Amino acid sequence: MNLLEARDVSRHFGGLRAVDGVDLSLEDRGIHAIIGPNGAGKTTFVSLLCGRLSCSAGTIRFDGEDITGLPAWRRARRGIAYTFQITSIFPRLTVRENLAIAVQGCSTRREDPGPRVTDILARVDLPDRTGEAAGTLPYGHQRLLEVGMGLALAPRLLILDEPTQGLSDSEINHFCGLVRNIAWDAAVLLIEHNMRVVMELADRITVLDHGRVLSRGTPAQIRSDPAVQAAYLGTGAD
Amino acid sequence: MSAWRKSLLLHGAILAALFGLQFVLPEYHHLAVTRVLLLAVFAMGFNLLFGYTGLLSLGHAMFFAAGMYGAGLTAYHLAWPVPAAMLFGVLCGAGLSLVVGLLALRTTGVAFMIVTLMISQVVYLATVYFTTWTRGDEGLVMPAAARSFELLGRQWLLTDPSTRYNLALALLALTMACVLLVVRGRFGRALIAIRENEDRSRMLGYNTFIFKLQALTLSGTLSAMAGAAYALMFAYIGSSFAAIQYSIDPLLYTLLGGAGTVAGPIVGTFFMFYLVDLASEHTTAYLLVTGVVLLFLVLFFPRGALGYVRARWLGWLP
Repeated sequence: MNLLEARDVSRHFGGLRAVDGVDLSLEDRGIHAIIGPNGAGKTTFVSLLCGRLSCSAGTIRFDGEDITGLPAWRRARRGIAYTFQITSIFPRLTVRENLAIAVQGCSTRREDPGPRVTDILARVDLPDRTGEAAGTLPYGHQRLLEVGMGLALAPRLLILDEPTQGLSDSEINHFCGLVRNIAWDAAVLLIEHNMRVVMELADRITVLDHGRVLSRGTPAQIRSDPAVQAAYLGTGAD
Repeated sequence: MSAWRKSLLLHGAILAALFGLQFVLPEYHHLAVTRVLLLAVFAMGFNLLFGYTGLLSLGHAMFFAAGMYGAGLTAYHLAWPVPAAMLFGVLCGAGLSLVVGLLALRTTGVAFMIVTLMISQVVYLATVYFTTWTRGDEGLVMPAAARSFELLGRQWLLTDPSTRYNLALALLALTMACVLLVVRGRFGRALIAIRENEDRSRMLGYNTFIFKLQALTLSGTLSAMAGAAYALMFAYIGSSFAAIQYSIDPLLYTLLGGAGTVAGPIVGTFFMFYLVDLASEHTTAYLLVTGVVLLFLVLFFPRGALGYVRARWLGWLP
């Protein structure tokens, strides 16, 4: 059984069909990338999956259950973690406090979040600087913190919305290693503009254009699909 | 020493200092400080919502008034004993804040400010409208029977300044303990998360509506406790306590002392109360003086007194 099944999912803003009848199935492990030109509806689509927006039509099933009508916080508790395209952390709180909030969000037990926070810091390889406000960290570290907060939910599906935007090449390499590591025991849904990252990481790719699925397949299939080349990659894509 | 031990020591010292203060204060200031203590309870209740949860209510006078009228009307018309009237006042505040929360928390930001302001005006107008029971602006003076009560095998005289002072201080200590526990625990962490980034908190699995509702109810209940005690200790209830000024005052106290600090509202209430008091001794334009001082403080100390202290010296201050 697939972990996530989105069927005929749509979202309309007035007359604009931002997402128009998209299907998507995800297995419980591995990396699935969503690509497409600006305005293709990628962020809107994943917002429907994580519950930041509600669907105009269609159904979303997660782990066999219909979650189409559930609020975002309930989906987070079921294991759908979302990291924002524009970094969204708690900038005035310390890194540890940021992660403690995330750990507490999905745990019902009254335990000290400290040990889990330390684990996550090690996993995303963030320096354990306890006293600093998260907003003063370098941008790359803030992105790592954002992913760390996603991991704190012990997600079964981690949605990464343009995670490498604004990172340096060495940071991107580190990031790719981290995502691969996460995908060992969770599904990762990756929206990404950087084609090198997509081709290197993704097991499967879905291409969106004008709110619809233009193509789907393995990286090699997508690369050789003439429709995709025309709409998005252009000729001679790397 | 851990931050929690340090903060327990500091807040214990504040309470001890306030206890000692009563033995050195002249009569006039003894009474004034009793009022300040109750108003500080009101401000601390307000701060829980504003300073820690990030929700600005412009209608907290309604919760103060709910406590005041809940206690005062039952003591006056039904001759309820003081403890029962007090408890009823607190329950009125809890009930009202729960209902207001269910309505107003469907909005955020400016809309939340306007909705709380409007509902509070409804409560104010109700106190004026049901004049048969409340005597509106003129108000009611508590009967002699409501000036003393028996509790724990002892007779308590509310006409005795020292009894009043220490009861007010006990309520302040209770409120302080309550806020300290909230701020330290899981609940407080959730509230701060909502204040700092509500959207993010939701995506981390927090049911932010329920947390905000709990914060508003606790805040309204503490405010009502201050109102009920104010009615019974100073033996008077009137519409002016439900007016908008009593919604703005706790905001000013909190801003001056430091929003989002446990003891800040106490500092702010003292400062503001005595500022008005001193200025009015010297000039009839005392509000002008207060206004200028407030402008100065907001411009140069936007985080308030204890907010400044925390940023500069005591990072552990809760």
